[in-house]
Amino acid sequence: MPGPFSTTNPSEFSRLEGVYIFEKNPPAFIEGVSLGTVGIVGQTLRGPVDTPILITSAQRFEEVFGQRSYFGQSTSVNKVREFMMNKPFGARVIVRAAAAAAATAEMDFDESATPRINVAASSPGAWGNDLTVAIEAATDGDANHFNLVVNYRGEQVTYENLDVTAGNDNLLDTIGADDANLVVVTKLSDGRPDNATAAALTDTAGSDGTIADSDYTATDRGINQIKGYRGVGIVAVADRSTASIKSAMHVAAQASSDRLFLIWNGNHAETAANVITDAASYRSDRIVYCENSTQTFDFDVSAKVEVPPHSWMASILSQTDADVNPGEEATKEFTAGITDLRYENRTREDYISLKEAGVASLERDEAGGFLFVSGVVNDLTPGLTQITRRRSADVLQLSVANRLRYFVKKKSTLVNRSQMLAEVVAFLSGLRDEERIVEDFEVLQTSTEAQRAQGQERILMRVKLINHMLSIILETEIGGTVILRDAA
Amino acid sequence: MSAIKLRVLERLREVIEREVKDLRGNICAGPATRDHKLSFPSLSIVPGRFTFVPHQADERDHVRDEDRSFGPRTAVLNVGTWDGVVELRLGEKTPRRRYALEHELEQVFLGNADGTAPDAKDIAGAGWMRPGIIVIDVPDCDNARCAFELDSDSWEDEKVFSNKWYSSMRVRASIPALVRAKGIPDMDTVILQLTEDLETAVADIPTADIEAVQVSEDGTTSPV
Repeated sequence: MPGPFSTTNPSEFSRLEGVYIFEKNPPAFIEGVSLGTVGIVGQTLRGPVDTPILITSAQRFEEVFGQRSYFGQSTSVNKVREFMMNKPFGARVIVRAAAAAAATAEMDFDESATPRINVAASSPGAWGNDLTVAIEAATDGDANHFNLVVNYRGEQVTYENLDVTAGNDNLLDTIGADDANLVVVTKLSDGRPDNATAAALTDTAGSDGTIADSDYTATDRGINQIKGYRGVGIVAVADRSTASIKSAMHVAAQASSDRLFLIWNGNHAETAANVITDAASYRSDRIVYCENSTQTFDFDVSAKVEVPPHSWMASILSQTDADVNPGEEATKEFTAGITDLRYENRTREDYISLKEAGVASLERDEAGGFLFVSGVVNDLTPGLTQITRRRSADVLQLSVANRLRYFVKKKSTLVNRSQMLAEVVAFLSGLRDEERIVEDFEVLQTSTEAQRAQGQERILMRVKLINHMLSIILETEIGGTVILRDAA
Repeated sequence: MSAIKLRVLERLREVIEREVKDLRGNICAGPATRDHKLSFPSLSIVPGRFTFVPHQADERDHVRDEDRSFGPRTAVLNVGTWDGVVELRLGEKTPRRRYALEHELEQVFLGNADGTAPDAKDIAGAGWMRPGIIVIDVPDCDNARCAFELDSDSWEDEKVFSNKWYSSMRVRASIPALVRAKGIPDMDTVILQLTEDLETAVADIPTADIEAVQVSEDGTTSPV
């Protein structure tokens, strides 16, 4: 029996028998909603395009979205993998971005020159050229049936006893429609395709096309698939960060009421001054503009790679409670995968300027490890600058909304309104008693009679949030002439 | 006597009929119908005088309608209670058999000592608050919740005739006085506002300092 296994990924529990240590923050008296699911848009090796897919483990990610690079090549094409490398995440919702012109590898398989089935790679991209497909005799011995043998990078999958004779089509039932499938097989006509030795899909070659901003920003693509996806609390684009993409994220942030949008400059080598100028274009308390790119070790190629800073912010936010400042000492465990920063020689004045510009910048801590110096959002309005403030407000609003939804369309009676108030008060009281998020509060119903007559019910939560000790001042007076007096 | 109270007594009749098999088909609640046949055994539920006890203004309650609709923009308001007395008048040919039925009727009210239904039977819509009180919901009276409490501990034989066919028991009844309130809007739009300002009077809080989201039926929010 192997020893206890420490993990932050609950999907590991069922993979092997044994004892698991899963340490997490103790829950509040009344549990609020989770804001820890990260939505990531980016290029991957393969996988469904523009389709949000929930991923809960590294293995599942690889099954659906593939590995680092094409078979036999060294260039990394899986940018989402790079984004997630060497840092913990909870649940993730991945949206693969691909060029509109990306082509899907496919080929027809004939019976005496008449096409019987079409076998296509399950998603567009050059990866499909690494597939080989063979037609063999069926396992059940029926001459009208056949086995389809798919090989991809040494992994072989055999679909047995397929039948596309007259009146029959068991392709979907046998192959299924899992997102991790390698191929999609379609019946073209009744019959049984001839046996064929393993061969690539060459009727149409797979290609990646040329990725463009519009593949991330157009209607129903990339960002627009994830910006409103239910349950996602943090949105990031893994790789591309052009002005167009940042603008799209900004627009989405301004229309959002329940999540944060993480962006970065897009140029690893950009100076602090230019970052400050750039940040001014994306003001929103739902935008977190991260700065100072990082090096991390890619174990697949035994070399360091440079990854954008917002990937570490995404990890921190997904693994911590809403009232935890991303710059706290405890968040170092999530940045432990950083080996170097692009800019190690930033001065105190640099960080002050970046903070005042609404930029959350990484620094190497003198005591070891790496921290975000200032956990700020890209909004300079006093009182709205802190990430914890935004996240705490979201937890309160979304948790309460999750209760109040049961009253929507109900009669505006004294009983119903009283119950609504009581629910909200009970929730906030619990948080205050546990000294989480809420220091003091008041709840009021503020609808006028006219508003109520129109079916509008308003509840106002007045909440004093628990402050964070952003600055601790140690006053000292040390010297030979110091006079000690008793404390008053 | 009102139609509402008559429906309530009908409901009490149903409850008793379920528990006391010998009285099935022989219970008359309120005035008998023209074709009602006198037979033994029989039970008459005879309403007495009811007094209206109004609620204080802040005690008035709206009846929930989570699963039923009282109609568009209509709610049912509980403005007080009708407190009164109901007489259970039991008839049987022999005293011994009547005494047995009296016991069964008492058991309907008393239930078990721990407050559960007698023999743990499930009488639909009836519960026991404590031994001696049964509580009945009357669905076709806007789910009115009515209570009936044994008012005396013994049956009184009729005193008029030498052949004592009947005995009676008083039961205190409490029936909610319900009125329909029209013009009650539905909460079509629920708006949740959040501010960190605990000092300023609500009316004076700048709009910019209040975050407002609209709550939808699936729990998602949208900025207002």
